[in-house]
Amino acid sequence: MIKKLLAVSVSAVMMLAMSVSAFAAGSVNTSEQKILDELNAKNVPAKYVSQAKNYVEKDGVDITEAQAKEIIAHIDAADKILSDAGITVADLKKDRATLEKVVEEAKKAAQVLNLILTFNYTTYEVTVVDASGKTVAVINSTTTKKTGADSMSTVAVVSVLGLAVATLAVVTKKNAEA
Amino acid sequence: MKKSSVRTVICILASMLLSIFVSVLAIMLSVELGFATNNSLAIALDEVKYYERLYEDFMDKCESVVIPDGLGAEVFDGVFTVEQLKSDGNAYLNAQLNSTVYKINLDSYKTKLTINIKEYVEKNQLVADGNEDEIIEAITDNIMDYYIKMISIPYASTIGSIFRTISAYFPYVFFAMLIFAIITIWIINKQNPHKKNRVFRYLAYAIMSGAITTLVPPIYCIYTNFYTKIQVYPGYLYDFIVRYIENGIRIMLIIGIILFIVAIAMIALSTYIKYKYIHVKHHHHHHSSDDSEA
Amino acid sequence: MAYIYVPLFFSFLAYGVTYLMASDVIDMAVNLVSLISADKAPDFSNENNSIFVKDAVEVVEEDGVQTVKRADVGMADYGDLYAYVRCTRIALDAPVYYGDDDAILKKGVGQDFASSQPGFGRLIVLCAHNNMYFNALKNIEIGDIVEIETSYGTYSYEIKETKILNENDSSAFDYAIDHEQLVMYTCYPFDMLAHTPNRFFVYADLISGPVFVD
Repeated sequence: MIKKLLAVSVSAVMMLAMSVSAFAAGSVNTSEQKILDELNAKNVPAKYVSQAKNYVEKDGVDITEAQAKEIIAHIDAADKILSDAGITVADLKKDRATLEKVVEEAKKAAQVLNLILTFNYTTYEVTVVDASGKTVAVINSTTTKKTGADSMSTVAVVSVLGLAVATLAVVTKKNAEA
Repeated sequence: MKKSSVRTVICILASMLLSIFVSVLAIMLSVELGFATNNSLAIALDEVKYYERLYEDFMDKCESVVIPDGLGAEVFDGVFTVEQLKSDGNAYLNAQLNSTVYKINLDSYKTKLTINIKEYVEKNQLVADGNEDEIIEAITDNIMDYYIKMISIPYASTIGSIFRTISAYFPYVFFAMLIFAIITIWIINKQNPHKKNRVFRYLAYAIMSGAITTLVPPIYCIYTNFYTKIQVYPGYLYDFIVRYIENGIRIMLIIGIILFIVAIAMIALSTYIKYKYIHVKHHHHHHSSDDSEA
Repeated sequence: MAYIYVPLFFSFLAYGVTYLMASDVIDMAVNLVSLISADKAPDFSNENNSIFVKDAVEVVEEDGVQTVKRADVGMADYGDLYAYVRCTRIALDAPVYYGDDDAILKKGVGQDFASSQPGFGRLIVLCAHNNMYFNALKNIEIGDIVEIETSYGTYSYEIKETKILNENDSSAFDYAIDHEQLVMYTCYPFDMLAHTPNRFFVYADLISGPVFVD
């Protein structure tokens, strides 16, 4: 009995030691909650809010009142850009100019927490990394991933080979006739 | 001159493509026949007497489980047999490979075991430390769980999905390669209407290349024996994996050797025809105005 | 002699082409081998960025309710192996990585990074290749129990619904859902080689697991 308990407490200590920092209490504080509420109020798609929620839940992430104020300011600024342009978040893909402005605001908001936000204008994928390069958020525009076997490379190679053979065959036939 | 260099280029390209087709065909065939069938697993299991040794291991473990509970080895008399274990094991393995669900019927084992335990308890006048039926039920359930755990081969469903992916590709790629190869041989033949020795030369290049591609992996395996260094326990599982790999390698080796022999035959044919042609040429003093021989 | 050099050169080409054609299968086989050889490594190792430690955290059970301290619950980083998902009836047993890029999907089950870990009362989205770890889903039925074992306890979910939807159907799941829901998806149909535009979705609701307390 004692042996078992001993094993549990040792591994529990190791488990905590593997956590990111001294803030053992990972959870959402009031400032963080304000940010999340603001995101919800401005109708930011659930994908992004969920990602933000994951981030603030982490151990070692404690956003201060001052930081929260700055971030909320950027969220409001982005919202204003949208309403000035008269479009909703869903239409952003069609309006490159407005999209760039919104991305700028998002980048500034991320900077408040020393995070670097990058936006891929081809795939519409958002990536956020922290100062040490660790991925903190990844949001793609597709709903699902490709989770099937991909025979594309096989088909491509076989096609190229077939084409090569066909070319040689055609040339040979011409040669023979000539 | 120009026409013949075009012909040489086409023949070299055709030969190169043919070597790819022959190699792919040979490798696919050896993998499909030697590794990727449920049968190849079954053969390896049989050859290392996997289930027989598993049975012994299982019975040992069963005994060590029940003895602390106060029972003896004889409670297992007539409960499990090697044949039944084998048939359960094979059925379960096949189900996992095909990604279907197979429920092993444990009722007969459980019933017999329960009867045996009750007899043992009576005979030895054991007193149960609680509700006797519940305790016996717990013991039999434990043994049944153990049985299922022991007869399942790890990662069988993942292995099965690899097999299935290979089998799905196999027919299409195989036939494509075969048809391409036939066309390529026709090209080489058509390009050399007068000097048939050339045809065999280009064929030899391609088939020899196929032989090399197919022989290198098994020879590498035999030379380094790296697969024997995997750390897998228990012993019968290790033996099974090693035997499975060796059987597959052997098939690849055989196909490679066959290709090698065919390639040598092609070279011999090419030399023979060339000799005959030159011999004939000398005899009739018939001068051919075409390009020189390699 | 040309009979040696030419075939040798051709062989290099042949290996290249074979690899291109079979890269999928080769990757699967290599991953299986690394799975088997890593099997004997102890749980504490940090290979594969595993933060999963079985029964690491003390789960207190009182009156049938399990609780665990919120401070003990570690949050996984991108790419961490932090749990195992299991359903014994269909022989599903796979490692769960936080994140779902191609590299992860080759090693096990991936989790949508925007979804959350078990126990937080939010959406959990898992995905995996339909010819590997999630091939077992083709036998799943409503009422089956799926378990996710984490370092801080085991959570059980009951399958309520299965659906087949287009790969880009954004109504497939809702990040803002108000209760803990497990969604698993994979390409559909199963065992098909061509590009699959559909996905097979499985929805399960939480039925038991440690609750967080301060």
